[in-house]
Amino acid sequence: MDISPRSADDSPVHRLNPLTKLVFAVTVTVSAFALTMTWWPLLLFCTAVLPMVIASGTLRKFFPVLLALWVPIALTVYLIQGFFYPETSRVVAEIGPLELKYEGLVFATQTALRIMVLMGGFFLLLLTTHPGALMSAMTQRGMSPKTVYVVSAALQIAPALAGRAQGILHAQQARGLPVKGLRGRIRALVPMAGPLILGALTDVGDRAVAMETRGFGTSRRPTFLTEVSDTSAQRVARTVMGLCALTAVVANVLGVLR
Amino acid sequence: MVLRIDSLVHRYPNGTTALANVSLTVEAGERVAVVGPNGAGKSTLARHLIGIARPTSGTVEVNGRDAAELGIADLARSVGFVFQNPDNQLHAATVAREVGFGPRNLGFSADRRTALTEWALRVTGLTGETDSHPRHLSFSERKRVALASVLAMDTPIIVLDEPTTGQDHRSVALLEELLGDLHKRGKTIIAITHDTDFCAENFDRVVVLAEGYVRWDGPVERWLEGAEDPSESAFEQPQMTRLGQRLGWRTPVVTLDSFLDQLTDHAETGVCPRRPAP
Repeated sequence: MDISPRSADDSPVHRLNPLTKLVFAVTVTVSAFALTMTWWPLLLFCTAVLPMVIASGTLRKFFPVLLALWVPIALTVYLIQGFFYPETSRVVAEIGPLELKYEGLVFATQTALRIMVLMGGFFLLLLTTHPGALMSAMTQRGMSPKTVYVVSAALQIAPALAGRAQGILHAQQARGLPVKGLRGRIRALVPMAGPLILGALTDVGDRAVAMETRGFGTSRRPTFLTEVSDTSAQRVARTVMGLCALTAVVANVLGVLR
Repeated sequence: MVLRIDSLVHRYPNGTTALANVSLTVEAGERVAVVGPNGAGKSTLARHLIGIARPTSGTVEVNGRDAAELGIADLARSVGFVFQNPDNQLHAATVAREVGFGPRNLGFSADRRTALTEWALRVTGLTGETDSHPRHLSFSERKRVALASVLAMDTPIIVLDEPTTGQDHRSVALLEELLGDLHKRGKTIIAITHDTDFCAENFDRVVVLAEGYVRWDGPVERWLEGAEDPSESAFEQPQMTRLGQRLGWRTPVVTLDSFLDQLTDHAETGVCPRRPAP
């Protein structure tokens, strides 16, 4: 599975200012979590995230990555909430000593859908945005380069680690390590985790030194090699999205739209 | 033959064609260098030999079996692959345990495992580092640990991806000696490399890849002597070849041995080589 962070395609979504896409991701996430109707995150995904993904032409890359990461999380949520939902509720089925509860399943559905919206929004950002463009756009808006780097690194960490893990997996399999079946996968954990974690830490150290030696920590305001384009329409759109997110939070606090 | 690649095409999901149509066979005991400019498809070709990459079309047969039908771990019994970056595999607490990892996975008996591990450590010059933590070694030493861990698997085919990159002189000399030893043991050796001196001294055959096609396949001497102009293939000619040219010798030389032979001929015939131009 190819999970490199960015699609090479070009589309209107690719050309949007990275901040617009970041605000979009934050807005859909906040809205999905703030409003408590069970169907709301699904509606949000279908009417906001999905059209953007289709417009960006990254559908074939978006869904395999989303499903590969979302399905295990959703299953875990269903298992935990379905069986261990804390409040007294209607029992749907009994499996040995365990009771599958209706309210637990409803809550799990809502949580899983909220997570899907969160992942969808941020995957769209990752798939259509060059990390450098995102960093430049945030720095040009006056954010500290260090903060911007933390945000950028956090967004890239999953694909970067997945790529490295794949290389390590191949290297260990090439030495005869079987990874099929549950036992094989458990056996592969140590040979995978060691190089993955140590390699990632070494990389972070090397990158920090390389960045410092090129003046990253300077207190002077940096100049930019390329200006990230922005338009009045996008600035308005970002403000509107911010207001929408705020409205959702206020609605949650006031207890409306339940 | 131990390897047979037939009309191999590899296209990446982003549409890039790494291998357009590659066919070649490798006999048991051959020493083959695969060379080519960056992006020529060398590493992709090597990844097919261990099953990491799967053909878009065409076939790769290892010891008569279709590699596409075997898992990476199954192919590891026939093909030992030494990755360019050793840090992707080092996980054990000691060098000895790291080297013994492959033989353990392949289910070798304790005696055979111990013998192979000791041999691999000895021939890679790591006997003194048996109990060291692999991460505490230099890059060159870590690369040798990775090589030892593959040698200990005792595979009939060994594939080395850029084995001289980041290696100091001592490590390269050790590697050259080791390749000679492995050749005598009948191993098939395939190396992905940019190093023409390394090619000239250690390999019999060269396969030049460019833009996903095999552009040249033949004896390494003929390629380096000018059957294909190395300067047009992003390669520097070996030092001995350049020195021979500077001396005005008409017969091209490739290796140190052939240079010394020709120097002896000149001394015996009394014909002094032309003084090299400054």
